Amino acid sequence: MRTLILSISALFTALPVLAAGIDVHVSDANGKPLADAAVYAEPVNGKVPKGKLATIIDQVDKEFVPLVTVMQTGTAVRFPNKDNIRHHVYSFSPAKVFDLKLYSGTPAEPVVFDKPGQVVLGCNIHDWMIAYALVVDTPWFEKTGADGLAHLPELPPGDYTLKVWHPYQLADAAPVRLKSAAGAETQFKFQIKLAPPPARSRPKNQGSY
Amino acid sequence: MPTNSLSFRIVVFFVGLLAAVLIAAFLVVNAADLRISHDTSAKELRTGERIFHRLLEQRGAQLQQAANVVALDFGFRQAVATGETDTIVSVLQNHGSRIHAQLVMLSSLDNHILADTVRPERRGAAYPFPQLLKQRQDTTAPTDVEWIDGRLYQLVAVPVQAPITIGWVTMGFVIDDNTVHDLAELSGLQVSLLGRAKARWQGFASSLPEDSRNALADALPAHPAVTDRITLAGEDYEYRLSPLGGQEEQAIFGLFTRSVRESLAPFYALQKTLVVLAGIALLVCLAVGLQIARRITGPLVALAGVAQRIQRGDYRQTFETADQSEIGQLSGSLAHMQVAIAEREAEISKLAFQDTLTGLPNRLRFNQLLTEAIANASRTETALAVLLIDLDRFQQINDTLGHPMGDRVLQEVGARLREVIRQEDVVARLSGDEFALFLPGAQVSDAMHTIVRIHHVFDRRFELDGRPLDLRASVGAAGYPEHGSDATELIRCADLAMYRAKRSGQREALYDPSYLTFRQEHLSLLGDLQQAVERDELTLHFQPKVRVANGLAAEAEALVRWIHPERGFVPPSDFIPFAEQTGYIKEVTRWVLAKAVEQAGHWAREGKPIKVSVNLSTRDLKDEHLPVLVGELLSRFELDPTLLCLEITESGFMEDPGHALGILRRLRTLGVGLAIDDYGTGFSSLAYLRQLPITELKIDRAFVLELDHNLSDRMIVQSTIEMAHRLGLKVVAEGVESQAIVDVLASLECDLIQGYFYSKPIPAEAFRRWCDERLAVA
Repeated sequence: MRTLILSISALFTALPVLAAGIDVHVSDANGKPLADAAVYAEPVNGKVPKGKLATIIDQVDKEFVPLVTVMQTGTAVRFPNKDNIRHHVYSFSPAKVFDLKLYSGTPAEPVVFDKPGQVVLGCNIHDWMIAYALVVDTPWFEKTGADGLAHLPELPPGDYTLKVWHPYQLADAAPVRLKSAAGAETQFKFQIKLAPPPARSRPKNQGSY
Repeated sequence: MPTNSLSFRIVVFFVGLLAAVLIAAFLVVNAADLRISHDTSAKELRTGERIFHRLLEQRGAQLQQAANVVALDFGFRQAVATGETDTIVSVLQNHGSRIHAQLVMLSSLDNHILADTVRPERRGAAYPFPQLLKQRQDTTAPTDVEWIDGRLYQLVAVPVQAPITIGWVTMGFVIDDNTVHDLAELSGLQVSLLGRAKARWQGFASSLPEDSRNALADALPAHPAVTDRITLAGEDYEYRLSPLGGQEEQAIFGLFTRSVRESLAPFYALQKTLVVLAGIALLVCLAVGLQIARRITGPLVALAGVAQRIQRGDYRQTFETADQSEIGQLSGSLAHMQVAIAEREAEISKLAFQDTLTGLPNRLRFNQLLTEAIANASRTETALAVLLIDLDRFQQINDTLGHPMGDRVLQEVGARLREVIRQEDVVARLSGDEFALFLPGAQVSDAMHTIVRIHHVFDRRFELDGRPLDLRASVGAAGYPEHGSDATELIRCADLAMYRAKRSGQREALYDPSYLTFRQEHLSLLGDLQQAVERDELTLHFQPKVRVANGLAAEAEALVRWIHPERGFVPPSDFIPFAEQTGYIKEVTRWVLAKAVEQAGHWAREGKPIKVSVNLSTRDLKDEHLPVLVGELLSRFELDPTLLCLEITESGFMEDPGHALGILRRLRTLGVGLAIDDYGTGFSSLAYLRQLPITELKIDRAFVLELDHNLSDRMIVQSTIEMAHRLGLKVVAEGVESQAIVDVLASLECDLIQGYFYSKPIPAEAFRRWCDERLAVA
């Protein structure tokens, strides 16, 4: 199984850096625009300012919303339960291991994701409920939309590493070095090879829950 | 029961038939059963195999579900996803034990062992059952039977979801004898699980008996057929081999076996039942067959017994004739037959033992009775006398009065004899005019009284149709035990005595042992006589027949004389009768004829012709060749036929008159003279004689001897001569011994006289001289 290694190629074109920020386009192996891909830029010197360190991952109709969340390290995440049943959100991912025992409404304390990395979230009583979180050490990140486009705001001048991640990706895409300066490139394209999304068999008769 | 009896055959037939049918049925059923048994066995093996697979699948599915539940347990997932190796191993053991998995293995998505409960040191090694996981992605209930660490496991694999799949938990459930026993019970077969590595078999689990399963690995060929037969520890099995899983180099098979003995058990039970049934059927058939055979043959055997008793002469059998079957009919027929046989036998024995003419016992019966009487006399040591009675001149009665009259005479004689005997005496008619008597308890000397009474029987004159008839009889007597010890001997002795009496002219004679030796002498004499004829020991003598008219002898009777080399002179009466009895007389006659004709021819040529007479015997009158012989002799010796005369006796002629007449006529035709000898002793009438071609009568000496003083003899001779002359016959008187008689004969005009008065028989030379002397005297 390991033999299947998909080449991931990041294509970029040298474009002048616009004051309006950086545009990144992510597509799958077939060239189709890829939604829910995380795009983030890490400063090479490692010094980053703190961004907005709070976010929400809802549980609506026995699904996590959104499917993919990108956040800066140290972000406190609230898991409000919008359903009229209880959920048991947990993660065994090394970046953040936690579980919120059966609860309804919003737990009193948010969960702080204090280490960078991937976190897969599940619900212990609804196996099909899966959400992905990417914890990054930068406040400059964005998620692609249905058009495969993500727009990063204008970065302070300096050197950055531009990275792309998708929960279904087979391997990390090669990062791209970029310089935030006048006249620097601002347009980037990434192509990612994906594995099929995990089977998430959800019982047909939801009413019984 | 004898093997050739009807009963035996009937029983053997029916029992044999049934046995053949049963054997045929048995063979057919046997063949069918064996085939059915084999087919059933094959089908059962297939079904068992399917059931086993299904059971294995179900078990797999159950194990899978159980494993799934375990794998989804939050604590389990938490421990596996977040714990360190030791923790993971312990949680695997812990949760595995919940569902009794003996092997739990955690593997990464890239197929490396992350944790192993059996052998933790395998961590980091390649996952050994990759095809299980591959299968996992295709079906919902992946299961496999695998072989690791020398144990056989049924494996299921479940993903560890946290919440996405981060690895696999493989759970193994040991398949051992217990498992197999459960499965075997459900499938109804013996199940064995085997692994094959490098063409070597290894047994893991089996429901077979210990010794059979131990033999299994070695008994199975490296690449066996799917179905076949195998012998394990002396027990035959049919088997079906089915792959269960494993990998190329470690294949796992299920071997489904069924004991041939067990699968044939119901068949053998049926076979046993059939044999028992056949045995019962045969016994019943035997019993019924015997019964039927007995019913059929019982009456037959009874009838056979009856028939055997009839065969032994018991005709008083009673028959069961109520039965209307064939046997009843047979019985009826046998009953009729018995009556018929009894009647016929009575008739036959009457015919056999009774003289039909007189109603007296016949010779056969007489012999029987005499034998019994002798036995009786022997027992009681008493005497017994046997008398033989022969009527004199009975032949003449028959000839002159006819046979019906003769028969009546015999009947009368029989009746009279019966009257004169005692109660215990037995009288029988032996043959012709011969009667016999035996007197139990009588000495032969005492028999005289009876003999006298017998003579009195004949003294009373017989009256037949008013015609008076005189009869006389000769009686011979012999006595037991002095003369003989059995019937044949006694009768022979009495016979000899009777002949002696007859020959000697007496009315009775008692047997004397000398008679027998006398007779035996004759037998030896007969042999000598043959030699005598051949050696010319016989001679001819001539007795002159003197012509009354001139006293000259112009004729002569040729008489044979025998001078025996040792005995000397043998009188003709000692050998002629026996030569007649034996038939040798013919040779004697021929010799005499030849000599006489030769002599007559000789005399004729000398110019002194003598007419020569030759006696012919009874037997000669039957000899067809005789006339030819006489003719030859006449021509050979050139004799005038008129110079030869042939003499015959009345009785000699009477034995076969028709034939004798033919011979006589042929002789007469030759021109030869023919004379009746011993005339008057028989009963032939002159009228009868007239028909014969005779030329001469010779009056018997009995009438001549007393002719000079017996008036009645004289009357007889006179009338005879007169009648003979009227018939143109010459008359010769024999036995003339005195001149007185010569004178009487001369007065009665007798033609020729012969007798000692003139000369006894003398040789030819002497006769010649005698003639010459007579001539000289005359």
